[in-house]
This record gives sequence, C-alpha cells and structure tokens, in this order.
Amino acid sequence: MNFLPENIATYGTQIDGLAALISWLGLTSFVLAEAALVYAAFRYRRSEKRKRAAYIKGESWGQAKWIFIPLILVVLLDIFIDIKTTAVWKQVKIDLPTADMNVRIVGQQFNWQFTHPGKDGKLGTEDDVKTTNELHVPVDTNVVFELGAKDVLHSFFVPALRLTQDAVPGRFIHGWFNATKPGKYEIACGQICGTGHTGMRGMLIVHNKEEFQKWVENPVTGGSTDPMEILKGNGCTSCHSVDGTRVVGPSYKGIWGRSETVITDGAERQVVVDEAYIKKSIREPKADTVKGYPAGVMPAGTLSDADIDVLIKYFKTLK
Amino acid sequence: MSHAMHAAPTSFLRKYVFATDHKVIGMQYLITGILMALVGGFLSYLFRMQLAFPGESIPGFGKLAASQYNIAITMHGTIMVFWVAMPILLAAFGNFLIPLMVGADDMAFPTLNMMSYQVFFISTVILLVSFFVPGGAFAAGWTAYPPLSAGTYAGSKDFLSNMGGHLWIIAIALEFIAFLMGGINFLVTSFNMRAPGLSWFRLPVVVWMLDLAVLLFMFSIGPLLAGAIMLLFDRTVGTGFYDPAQGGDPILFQHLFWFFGHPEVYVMLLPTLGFLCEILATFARKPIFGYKYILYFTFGAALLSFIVWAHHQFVSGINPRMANFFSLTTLLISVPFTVIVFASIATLWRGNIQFSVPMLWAVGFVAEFMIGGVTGVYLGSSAFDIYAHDTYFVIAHFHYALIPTVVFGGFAAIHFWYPKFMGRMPNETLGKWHFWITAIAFNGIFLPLFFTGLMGEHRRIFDYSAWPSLMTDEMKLYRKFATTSLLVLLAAQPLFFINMIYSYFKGAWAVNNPYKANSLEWSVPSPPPHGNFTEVPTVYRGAYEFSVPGREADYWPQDAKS
Repeated sequence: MNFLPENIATYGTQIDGLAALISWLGLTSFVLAEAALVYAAFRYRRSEKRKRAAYIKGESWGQAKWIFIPLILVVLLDIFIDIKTTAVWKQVKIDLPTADMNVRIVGQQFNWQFTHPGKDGKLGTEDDVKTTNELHVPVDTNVVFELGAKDVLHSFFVPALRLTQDAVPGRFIHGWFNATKPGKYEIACGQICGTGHTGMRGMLIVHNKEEFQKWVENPVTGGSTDPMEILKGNGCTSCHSVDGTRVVGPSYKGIWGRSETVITDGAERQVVVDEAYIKKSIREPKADTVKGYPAGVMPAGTLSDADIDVLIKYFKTLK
Repeated sequence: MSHAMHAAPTSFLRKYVFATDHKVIGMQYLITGILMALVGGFLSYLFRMQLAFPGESIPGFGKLAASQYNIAITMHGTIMVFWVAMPILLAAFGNFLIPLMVGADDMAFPTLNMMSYQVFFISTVILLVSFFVPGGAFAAGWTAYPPLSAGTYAGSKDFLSNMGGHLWIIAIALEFIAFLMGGINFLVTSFNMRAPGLSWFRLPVVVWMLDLAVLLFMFSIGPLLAGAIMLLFDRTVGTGFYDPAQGGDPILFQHLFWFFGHPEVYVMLLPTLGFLCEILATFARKPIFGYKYILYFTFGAALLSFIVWAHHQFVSGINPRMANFFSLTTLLISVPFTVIVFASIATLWRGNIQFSVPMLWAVGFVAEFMIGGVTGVYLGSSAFDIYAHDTYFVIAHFHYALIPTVVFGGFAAIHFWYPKFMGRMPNETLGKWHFWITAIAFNGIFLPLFFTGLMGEHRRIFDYSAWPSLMTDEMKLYRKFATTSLLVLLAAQPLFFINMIYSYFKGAWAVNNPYKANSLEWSVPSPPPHGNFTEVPTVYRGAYEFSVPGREADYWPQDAKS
C-alpha cells in the first residue's frame, strides 16, 4: 500500500494494515472471479462446432453449489475482515486514552481555530493559546481533542494521522491521536462547507518535546515575511482574491487608500482604507461591512501586529 | 378498461403529449433522461477540466469560479441520480416492459401514468430553471447536508439561502411524487393484470426487479420527503429542525437522507440486474442459472439495504459504538451480489454465447461492477473508512457501482429492446465501437481516482493548487489522465445518437422476435400496437426455457402451447 501518504499516528499502522489485508483478500477474490467470467465468456462463445447450449437451470443443489461455495467463502472473508475492523475501530474511535494534552478545535468558514492549554497545561484558563490554522503538539503524546464547529459542518481530516472526524455545530466530539514524528502536516476540511472550502487548510505542527516546551513559553505563530503565506495560512484567500476577482469578500487589489462605503450598525458611511481600518477589519470584522458584500461572514483573525505590517506593505503594492 | 376496445388516438396531442399509452410514456421518460444525461455530462466536463487545468479558461464555457464549481458538482450528482438513473432505468423501462411482459394491454391506471410523467416534466423544468435564478443553482452538495443547505447559520443569508436551493428541494419533492404515481402502477399492473398461467415464478426476472425497486423506493422515500420539507421550512419560514441554535440537529438530516439514500442505490441497481438476466439468458441461449436463488437473495439484499445507511456516517459524529453494527451489515451486503455475479458466470458456462451489442454491455456490467463491489469492502470496513471517508477513493468506488449500473445497464437495455419499440434493428458496428470506446474511457477516468484518493486527495476541492502535497507531478498526471479519458468518453457518445437516429430511418426492419427470445413482449409486432395484444395470451412456462433437450428450436416462447 505505498500509495498511502506517510503515516505518523500510533494507530495508523493498524489502519494501513487493514487496507493491506483487504487488498490481498479482495484482489485475490476479484482476480479469480474476473478470470472465471472472462474464461466462460471466451470458452463458450458461439462457434460452428457447438450446436447448442447445455440446459442447466442451476436449481438443484448439485448445480447450485457453484454459487453457494463462493458465497460461503465471501461470508467467511466478511466476518474475518469485520473482526479485524472492529478491533481497530475500537482503538481509534471508542477507547480514548488518558490525555497528556487537551486541545479544542473549532471549524468555521473558512479556517480552523485551535485552543492550546498554555503553560499551566489546562484548557479554559487565562493562559490558553489561541491560533488560527496552526495546531502545535509535542511528539509521542496522547492528544485528546474536543472538536466543534461554529457555523456549518466541517471535517477534521489529517491524512498523515489517518484521521477523519466531522465537526458538527451544537456539539463537541471527542477524539484522540498520538503523533510519532516531528514535522508539518496538512489539515484538510473534508466536508463541503461553502465557496471557500478549498482554502480551508490548516497545519499540524509536531514538535519534539523540548521545542514544544519553548513554543508554549513563547507561542509565536506565523512570523513569516511572505505575505501570501500569511494570507493563505489564515485562510484569507478563501474569500479575498489578490487579482480583483470577486469571491466572497472584496479583493485586496487596489485596496490601500481606497475610499469605501461601509455599513456600521446599519448606517452607511465613507471610510478610507488605512492601517487602523485594516487592523480593525481583521480583528473585529463584524464592525464594518463593505456595502454590497454579505455581513457577518468573516471570522475574527488572530494575526499578530508583525503579520499585519507585512500584509499592509504588500497591499500597497497591489495596484 | 381494456384498451383493445378503444381506438388508438390519432391527434398529435393525444398521441404524444397527453399520452396514456405506456409505451409512449416510457419513451417520454427515456428521452427526457437521455437529454438530462447530456446536462449532467456537460457539468462533469466543467469540473474535470477545472481540476486538471486549474484556473484556465474552459473551451465552450470560460473560467469556472469557485461558486460555480460547487454548483456544477452538486447538480451533476443530483441530475445523474434523480433525473437520469431513475427515469431511464426505472420509469422508462418499467413502463415499456411491465405491461408487455405480464400480457396486459396497458398499465392499470393509464391516466395516473400520464400524470406521473407530467409531474416529472414539471420537476425537470424547475430544476433547469434553477440554473438561471439570481445566485445560481443549489451548491451545497447533492446530499444537501444542513446547516450549509439550510442557510440558518450566521452570514448565510446573502449567498446561499437563495432561490436555487428552494427550487432544488421543490424539484426533488415533485420528482418523488411522480415516481410514486408511476410506481403504484407498476405494482398494481404486475399483481393484478398478469396473463392466465403467468404465475409469480414464471415472471421474467426484470419484472420482479422493477417491482422490488418500486417497493424499496416506496418504503424509504417517506423519511426523506419529510426531511426535505423540513429543510425547506428551515430555509423559508424560520423553523430550526436542523439548527442547533434553535434546538435542532444537523445529523438528523443525514439519517433521513441516507435511510433513503442507501436503498436508492438498489432502486437503481435492481432494474439493471433484471436487464442483465434477460440479456444473458437470451444471448447465452441458456436458462438463467438459479432463477429462484437470484430472487431470494435479491429479497435479502433489499431488506438488508434498509439497515446499512449509517456507513455513510461513520465519521459524522454518530455514537461510535453504532459503527460496529453498520460495518457488519455493510460487509454482509456483498453476499447477495456474490450470488448474482456467480449466477451470471454460471449462466454463461456451457452456453452458446453471441456477443451482440446488448450482450457486450451486459457482460461489461458484470466485469466492471465487481470493481465497485470489491472497493466497497474498504469503505464498509469502518476503520479504514476513517481515512478514506472524504477522499476520491469514495468517488471512484461509487462511480464503479453506478456507471456500470446506469450507463452499462441503460445502454444494454436500450440496444436490446430497440427493435421492439422502434421496429428497426440498431447498427451493430456502430454499437460495438461505441461500447469499446465508452468502456475503456470509463476505466481511464476512475481507475486513477482510486490512487489519488489513497494518496489523500480529498473531495469537493475547487483548486488543488492550494494544497502543495496534492500537487505532485504524479497526482497532476493522474488528474489530467482522468480528464482526458472523460473527453474521450464524451466524444464517443455521438456514435450512440447517430446509431439511434440512423437506425430509426434506415435500419433493417425488425421482426416480432429478432433474438428468438421467450418472454411475451416478443410475441407481438415490433413496435407493438396500441393495446399490445390482439387477444389475451396464455402462458405455459417460465421465460428462460432455452435449449431444452429434445426440442428442435433452442427457444420456447412462454405463450407457445407446445
């Protein structure tokens, strides 16, 4: 099964093993059945020598055994696969281990919001670290997550962890994983969630233990000097283009210094796009809505001042 | 009641528009279904081009936007399942075949039958109009999961809660009503109007299969119809059936949808299994192997299909303990289909097989459907589904189940019964070219998608340029290969249309029974006159008495006294 991407989950090996098992059993049965079909079709095609077909109704047991023997084999294979499946399923989805670390994951249109426990190791306290599209975990640690959604269905899909779990508004679903190898891995949204579904891309960042401790003490995210990396990393480009195309929200092209009509508390007013306006639009997107665009769609961003400075410099070049 | 007593209608309107003749209604359903297949095929052209050549202008359309991409995939699924598979396999061939095969002059309720098509026609118009309303057609996926489809979440009002979605729900609901009206006709006709001597176990398999499909549809449609109306209310009058903020539950809809959705797979599949039996027996010149076992195991599959639905929801947030039950039932549904595959092979065994065009499609169906079956085991295994659930592996799997069923089964049936209903023989050479190009191109589209799915390509993504790990040269190549194969497949379809139209005017005249087959439809003229039979036929035996020892002819019509 070398088609599957790299596996970094403790339980991933079992899932891959199950795929290999089904492949061997399935492919063998499949090849045998296809061979029988092709052989019968060619061996008994119409010819001069054979005047007519045999009269076989297949209702006596002696004849019907040719369908019942494969049937019994298939039942046995099914039961065997089911027993193996149930064991793996139980390990991944039913038996949650004791948590070494808890995180909260919330999907929203169109990015992932992560809440890490911070220095005290507990969720729901002052020092929680909130990030957008970046989930930081230490290696070889049982991470138990609570997964929710703000608006519509999303699905937390991490191919490298062999993990999919839908995120459903109105409830938190618990699950777990244990990543065995440091590195950066993509987090996808597996469930169609609207126009910006394509751009809903997060990163799972697995640190070794010392590095993770350093990150907890000083939780920097982003820190890139590449504006497109910041825009994509925060899911901005799901809704805002840089080339003037209208997606969900206004394009960034020509935005700097532009005079916009915005709606604030139901009243229209004119603003000029400057640094203060951009900061406010990112952090409190519901305060002003550009006229002609849907209100209340954009989630509040968690970008640092440094990241926003990089963006402003970039916007100035987008004439 | 008897049509034989009435004169055939002569005015154009009575004969073709407000027709009550089951054959004309069958043709109306067939032509509508084929035209809708062109719409659904065009949509697949749009999104496959976008996936292979992201952001480039698509010939014949222009640039595809993300919102249009979502419309294209949503409407492709909706159209192919509800406006192509069901009207062609179930409605068209149910109408063509049931009265003729049971020896009746028409359906039991001809006027109801006429209304069935008319309501279906209205639903088709509504669906097509939805492409052109402000905001465009429905774009929340063909499964219409709320809250996205309900538009009850913050910020949704302006861009999703649009007219397209309302029209989508109304069109679907009307379509279901149309099939209920048609379905009751199928059942009453085959229960009450069978010719003397035509006992249940002398019925051709296809009649059984069409009736079972209707029963499955009737038993499963209630919950979804209710679910769709609740969705419409959430969208329009502010109820909150699926809105957690108002105490509703989004997963409720998934249960209602898939409680229908899984039996629906068998609503599509069973008619094709019926066509398969008729065609295999006729062209292998052998009785269908294990007639009664096929029926018993199909009953089993039909019942089992009601308790597998949550395999669509393994990772949706249902109680994980439930998955064990649904994983077992899902794996066990492979059992009845093993019986049918092996019964097909055994029917060919020691036959005298003629590879006519319908036979190619029928044997092709068995060969391809097995790929759909085997790959279903990966997904039925709940634990592997944790990985594969939202990937292209699923897309490839269900297209390997549905394209053999709908496309192979549909073409098999159209070619097989064309002489009966058109009175002319279709062209074999054109038919064979069409078969081989379509069959090879079909594999070229979907085989690569199994591999991209295993590599982690997740579904309903508009532009993979945003996903570096899914933009490797290998995956780009697979995507382009799939799209190119689709272009080949689409380019081959004019062969079919040319064949159908050319043969209608220039084909050789068809005799009553061109294939020397046994069931009752072959005992009447081609095409059958209004009222079908000049006198009620009497049936003496089953439909598959081919190559009976001691008889000179290798067939024995059901209504032949000796």
